[in-house]
Amino acid sequence: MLAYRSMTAQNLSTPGIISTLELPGAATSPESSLRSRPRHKADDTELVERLKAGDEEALEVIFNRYSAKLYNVAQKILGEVADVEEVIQDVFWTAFRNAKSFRGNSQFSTWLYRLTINAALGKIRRSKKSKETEYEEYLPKFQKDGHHSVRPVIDWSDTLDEKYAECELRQLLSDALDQLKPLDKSVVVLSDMEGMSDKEIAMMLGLTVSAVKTRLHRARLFLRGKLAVQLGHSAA
Amino acid sequence: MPARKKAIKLLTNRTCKEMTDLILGYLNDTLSRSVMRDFQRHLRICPDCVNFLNTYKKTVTTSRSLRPEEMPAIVRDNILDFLRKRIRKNALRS
Repeated sequence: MLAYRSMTAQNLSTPGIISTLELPGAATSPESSLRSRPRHKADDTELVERLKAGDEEALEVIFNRYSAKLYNVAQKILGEVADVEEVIQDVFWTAFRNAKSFRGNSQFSTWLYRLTINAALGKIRRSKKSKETEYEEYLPKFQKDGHHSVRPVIDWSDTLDEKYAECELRQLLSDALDQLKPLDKSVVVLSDMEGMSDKEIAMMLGLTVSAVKTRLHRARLFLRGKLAVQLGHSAA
Repeated sequence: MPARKKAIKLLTNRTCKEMTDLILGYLNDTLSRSVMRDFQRHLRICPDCVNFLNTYKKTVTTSRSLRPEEMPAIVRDNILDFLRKRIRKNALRS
C-alpha cells in the first residue's frame, strides 16, 4: 500500500505541508496531531519513518532541507529551469509516495540524490536534447613514445581569470559541461561541484568507484581541452 | 631520441602519457609511495607535464568555484503547489 493511503482524515483536514510552506508561521489547527508534535530538529531517520506513515509535515521538513541542493544538482545537469522544476517535483512526489521502498541501506539524502539524478538522466534520454560531443578532439595527444605530441604545453592557468569575468567563465564551463555525456556530467557535478566522494557518487549512480574515477578524469580532461581551445591553445 | 626525452626516460621511468593517467591519483593523494616519487621526479624535469598539471588543476578549481544555482521563488511555489494537489488528489481517491 502506498504511503499516502495511510493518511488519516484528520491529516487531510489540517493546513498541510504546502500551505504551511506558503505561509511560514501561520496558525495551525489545534486539533491536528501533526501540529501538536514537539518542535525539534528531526534527523532523517525519524523523518523517513514519518514519511512512510504519510506525514505531510515530514515532507515539508525534507523539502526545506534538501530542495535547494537537489535543485542545484538538477540544474547543472539539465540547464533549463522548466525541466529542473519537473524533475524536482517528481523527486519529492516519489519520495512521499514511495518512502516505504527506502530500506535504509544508504543515507536518505543519497536516495534523494539518486532519485534526482535518475530523473534528470531519464529526462535527457527522453528529450534527446543532449549536445554531447566526441571527446577525442579535446583530449591530450601523445606520441608513440608517450610524450606530448604538441609542445610546448602552455600553462594558461593564470590567464583564465584575467581574460574572463566570473559570469563568462560560468557560461563557458556550462557550455562545455553540456557537451559531456550525461552520466559523465553527473559525475563532474557531484564530485567537483557538490564535493562528494567517489564512493558516494558510485552508490548514487550505480557505478564502481573505479568507473567513477575513470569517468571523472576523462571528463575533466575534456573540460580542460575545451578551456584550452577557448583560450586559443591546443587541447593536446 | 632528443636529449630531453632521453633524460626524462632515464630519470623517471614514466612517460608524459602515464603521468596524465596518474593525475587523479596524484591530486587525491592515493598514489603509492614509489609511484608518487616517480611522478614528482618527472615533474621536476618536464615543464610540459608541470604546465599540463597546472591547467588540469585550474579546470577543477574553476568547476568548484561555480556558485550554486538558487531555486527561483516561482519554481519553489510551483513545486509546492504541485505536491499539494497530488497529495490531496490521492488522499481523496483512497
